Amino acid sequence: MPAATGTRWRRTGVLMALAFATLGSLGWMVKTNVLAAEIVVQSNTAQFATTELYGVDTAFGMSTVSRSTGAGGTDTRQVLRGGFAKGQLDGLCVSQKQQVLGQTFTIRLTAGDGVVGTREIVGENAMFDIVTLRTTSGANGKNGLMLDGRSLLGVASHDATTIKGPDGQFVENPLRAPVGSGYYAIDADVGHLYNARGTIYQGEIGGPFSAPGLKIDVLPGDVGCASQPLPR
Amino acid sequence: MSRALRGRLLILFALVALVLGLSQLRDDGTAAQAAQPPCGPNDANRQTLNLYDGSQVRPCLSGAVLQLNIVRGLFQTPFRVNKIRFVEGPVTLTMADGSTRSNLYHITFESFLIDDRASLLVDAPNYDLSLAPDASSTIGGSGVNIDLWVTGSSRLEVRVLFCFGFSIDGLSGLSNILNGTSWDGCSLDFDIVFATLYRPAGSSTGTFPLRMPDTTIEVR
Repeated sequence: MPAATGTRWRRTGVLMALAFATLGSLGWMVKTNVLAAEIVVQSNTAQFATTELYGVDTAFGMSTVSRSTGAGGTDTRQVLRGGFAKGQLDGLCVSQKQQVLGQTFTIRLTAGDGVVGTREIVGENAMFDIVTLRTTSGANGKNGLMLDGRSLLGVASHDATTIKGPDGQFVENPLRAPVGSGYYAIDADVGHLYNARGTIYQGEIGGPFSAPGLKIDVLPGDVGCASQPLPR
Repeated sequence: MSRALRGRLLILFALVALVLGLSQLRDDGTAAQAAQPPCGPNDANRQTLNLYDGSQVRPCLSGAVLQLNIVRGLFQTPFRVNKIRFVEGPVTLTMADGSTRSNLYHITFESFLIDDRASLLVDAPNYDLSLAPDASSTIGGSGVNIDLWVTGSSRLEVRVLFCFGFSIDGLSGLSNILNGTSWDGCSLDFDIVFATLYRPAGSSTGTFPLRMPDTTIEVR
């Protein structure tokens, strides 16, 4: 009797249904603009890309992140924590490479309306733990890192400000940085990044988040955001 | 293990990883109310700084120094500084941990144009943070003030036919002559304890006083 081949859809169907149910609830929450999300990268870095990021009440401050090293161990990594009170993005891509049974695959989250120059993705109280960040020229004809308003360079990270509380006053230490000296930060009224690609340890969006065209793919091979055109 | 079984296991693990990853999502709809850390006991280490336009800022200083380094080219002019002013110095500033740093000078520029030979580095005990533009960058501009607090040992070379090097504490003695002047520079080595870029009171955004194209930021 020949060996059975092909995919056993009944066995995988249970998990697929669970995955799609999660995706469905995610999509519902995005559509109703009530989603607040924390995307935690367990131990490896994730790739990040956007055509444009416009952040109001922005801070970039050195901080630390604990990451899992496997077998219950953790270590501490220094990161540049970028945060903003209100942000708009023109396209978003976040991806992470995984290795299973010697095979490489990529989990890739993308969002956007496909149009350059529209900052269609909106979020509040967001933070990203940056390891590397690169800005280059792109289809929007823009390029670079820009700060606007009053910018302070050299504040302690725990003194940088982004979000305000119900009393209208800046919440102290929104970056959740170690208190004390040695952690360098830049605090600006507005931060503007064009055509940015980088690697992050984790991202967090603590307020309402709206992301048109949100899609999550599981793809064979190493096809992270770095290998793709800038999202728009 | 057969190829078919391997393929099915791969799909199974991918779906499990996706579901587990998505299960990290949690609803956290309200803005975080963090603890309120002062800058030292009773906020005693917060530093009051008077800016050139008469306004004030009260930062808690990190104590880490931003090194701005521009290397000399053969014939090129790698930077230009417009309307330099020596405001005050030497002064002593208090850092977040209560330590102090002395022999600092408060200087201002109107604008500062630097080419791709510039590098910015925070070289702290447990990390390096580098900002490396590989195209010309603009700091400041017409109507924008740049206030820096730099160490007295910071140096720059200015071009007057040839390149002449000076330390900031040496130049400060010539402030009556130098205030308001503009120079082309050959090289620069500044240790910046604190800097602020701003437009005078009454206007705020729209000029983007810091513009760094083609920049790589890296934490090591």
